[in-house]
Amino acid sequence: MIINWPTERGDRMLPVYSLLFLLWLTSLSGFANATEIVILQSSELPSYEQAVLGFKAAIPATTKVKEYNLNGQLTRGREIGKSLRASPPDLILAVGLKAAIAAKLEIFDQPVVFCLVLTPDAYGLPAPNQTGIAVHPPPGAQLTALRSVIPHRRRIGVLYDEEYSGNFIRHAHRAAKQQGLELVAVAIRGQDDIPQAVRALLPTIDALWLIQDQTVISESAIPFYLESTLDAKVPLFTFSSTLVQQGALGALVVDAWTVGQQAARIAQSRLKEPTTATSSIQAPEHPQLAMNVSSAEYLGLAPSPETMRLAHQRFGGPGVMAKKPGAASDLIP
Amino acid sequence: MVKLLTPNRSPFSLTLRTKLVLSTAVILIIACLVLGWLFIQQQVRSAAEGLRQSGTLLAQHLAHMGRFSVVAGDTHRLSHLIQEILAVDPVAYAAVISSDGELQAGFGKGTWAEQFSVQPSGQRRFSLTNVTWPPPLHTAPDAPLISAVQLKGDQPMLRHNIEFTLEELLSIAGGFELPIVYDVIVRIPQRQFMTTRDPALDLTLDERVDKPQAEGLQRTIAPALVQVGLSTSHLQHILRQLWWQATAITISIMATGLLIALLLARRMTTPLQELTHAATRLAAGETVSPVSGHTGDEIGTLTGVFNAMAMTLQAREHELRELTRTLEGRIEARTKELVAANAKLQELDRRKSFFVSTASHELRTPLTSMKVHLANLRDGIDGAVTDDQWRSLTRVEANLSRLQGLIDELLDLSTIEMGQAALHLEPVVLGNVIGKAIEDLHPLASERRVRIVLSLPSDLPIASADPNKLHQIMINLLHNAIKFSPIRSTVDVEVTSLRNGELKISVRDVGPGLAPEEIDKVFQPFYRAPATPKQAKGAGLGLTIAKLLVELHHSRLWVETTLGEGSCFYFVLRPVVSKQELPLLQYFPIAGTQRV
Repeated sequence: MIINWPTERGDRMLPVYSLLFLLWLTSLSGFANATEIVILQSSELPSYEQAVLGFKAAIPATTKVKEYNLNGQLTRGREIGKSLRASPPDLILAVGLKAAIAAKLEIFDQPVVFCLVLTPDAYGLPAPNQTGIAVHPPPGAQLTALRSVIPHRRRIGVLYDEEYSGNFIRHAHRAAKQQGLELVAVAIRGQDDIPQAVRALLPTIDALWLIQDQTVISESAIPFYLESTLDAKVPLFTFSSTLVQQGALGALVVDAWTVGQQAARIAQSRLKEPTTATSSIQAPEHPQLAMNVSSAEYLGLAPSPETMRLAHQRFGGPGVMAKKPGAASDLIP
Repeated sequence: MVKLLTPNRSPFSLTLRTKLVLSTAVILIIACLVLGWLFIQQQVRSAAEGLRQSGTLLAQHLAHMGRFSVVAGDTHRLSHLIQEILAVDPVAYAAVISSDGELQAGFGKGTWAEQFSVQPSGQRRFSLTNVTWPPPLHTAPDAPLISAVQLKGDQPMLRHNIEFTLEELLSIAGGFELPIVYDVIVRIPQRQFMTTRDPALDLTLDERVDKPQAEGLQRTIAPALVQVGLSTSHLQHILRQLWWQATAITISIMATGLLIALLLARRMTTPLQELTHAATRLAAGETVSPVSGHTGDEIGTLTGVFNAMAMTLQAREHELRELTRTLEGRIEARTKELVAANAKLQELDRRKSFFVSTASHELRTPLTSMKVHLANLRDGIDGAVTDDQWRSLTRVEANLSRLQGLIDELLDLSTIEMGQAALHLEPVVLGNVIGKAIEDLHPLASERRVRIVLSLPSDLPIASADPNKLHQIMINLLHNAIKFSPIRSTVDVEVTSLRNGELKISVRDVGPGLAPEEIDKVFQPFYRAPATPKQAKGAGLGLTIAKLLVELHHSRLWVETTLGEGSCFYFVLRPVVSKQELPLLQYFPIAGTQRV
């Protein structure tokens, strides 16, 4: 092999080449200093997509973002986690339960922010390197919202599964006591207990509070709650705007896009101060009050103008309309 | 003529009116039955469909009202709702069945109350579940499953056909009530919720590490079914009333239709009957007044044409009658003229016969005198004659004899025609008379060398005849036969007895015969056939005299002849009927066949 080195003409161009090389090295060092964030998304739930969009909208444009979708498979999340350990990013955002669990199992040194995990404590979350955002507002906030809607109702009934919501209920008891409310909590072990529990509970309470408990909430049980409470004229306070739309009186709801933005702010804070203590769960910011004015009217309630002003979402659901005799209905033949 | 126009009708033939009414009745009956049946079928379907729709609505109502009670296991409320449904009249039973076929709540009325029984385990059970479970529900959640169930004894049976059959409809119409119910099964509805873009609800419902748990939860609150039975008792009552109403309406329509058909047929056939009656009278020659027919249809046109034809016929008949009346007068006048002419001719004929008779009689006397004197001359009594004179005298004598014969014949003919020929009947032995005639003509036959053969039966009866006239008849017939027979031929004379006892005499020759047109002329006076030989003598009166003489015996003379082969003359005589005449007979022994 024969190598032809630069000739005389090449000798004259040597300073130019040296300058260009220096410029390239400079740009490389700048690129190497850009923040890299990896987003692990559990599946393609619309809520996850909204949270990711909110997150990306809040981070700086220079931040390098890599996205991975687990497609609902935890094993895939663990494989991705292992590969990330080889070239770790500056921060990992885990959206959803399976993404958070995969990060907990495979990422030990890098900061992790997770969101949209329903019961993190049931799965040992957060890990020491993790910071999470709760899905639901704290019990006190929810009860405050409930009290603003039905200020004169004291006995608040609630169903829960000790496995999922034991801690939450204990916090709720304290919060209720502080606010002068009486929380009537009925523990159930499965969905078979729901009908009997509701039948026993409704005559003794002023309002029913549905919490995000996966034993309490199912597609089959939701209409039962809606119809039973409306039939018994007991206000139903929930966590979902959909349920409000279907006939529940009110709810304190969390927006996924807002959660994403909140996660972005936590991520930036963690990147600026990597040594700050982590392993915490933060309450979701800016929960919104939803109300069904038709249900309120049917129940004989008159929310204050202030409450109505605070209600970001107002509905007139068909559940109440169905109970009005003579009105158009999809239930009575 | 009238009979031809009105032919005899068969006892099974129908009148036009009957045919019209019958055909209309058949069409009406078929149309009414078909329409009535279609109407009843449509009403049955409509009523049954209405009942099934009511049942579906009731079942859906129960499913809606009890859907949360099912989830909550609130059997008290379910029972209350079912009792409310049972209060509706046609509802026979109502039940809420869980997805695994267990009865959650249910009650029945009447016989269907017994179909709900308590099991040894303490649970209640609906017997119909054994038949209808598992129900083949449609994929559409709101679509009902409707079937027909019949109680046979105490056991419910699923019917293959949801509609009533013809036999069942007839039974219902006959007053029987069938224990059939419509069984309606609907799902208890499940409400769908929108969870899109609701993160809290999404996570609560979907974020599970262990999916099998969620499916198990879903299964524990699986939807149940509502089963409602609708009794068809009231429906059958309505159908029974409908059946009889339809039958009454059909019969009314048929009766009205038949009445209208009868009136129309009468309107059509009455003018035809009038026409027929008028035509019959017209055919019988009666005067017919114009038939009234004012309808503008074909029958009216026919009536008009008939009236015109009748008027024309009557005018023609009047003309014909007038012509007939005139013709009778003319015929009467002509007849009178003919009678007068005939009388004149008879008078002339009588005068002619009288003249001929007188002339013949007057001619015979001098002629006889002439023959006497001539015989004297020829015999030489008045002097000797030479041979030439003798031959001349002989020839004159022969001519005188011929003239005398002619005069005799004319005299006989005129005597007969004038009715002066008296008939003296007496028993006659035919063999003697015929033999005498043959003997008298022997010279002529010998001259012509003609053989005469007489054939007589052995038992020949005695004939009743005038022997002289019979002799004359035979002389004339034999003379005619000999005259026309060729030389050396035979003339056959035969007498035969007929079955009625009469005697038939025939004279046959083998002469030239007669042409057919000559047969009637041969018996006319002075007629000479074209085939008469030139040497034959005679005036043509022999056969005429023979015919008249035979007719004088109240018989007739006829001839059978073939041109070129000969002729045969026949006549018949009656036998003697009175035995008093027999002794006067003189018998001549004559053999069976006499030859000359």
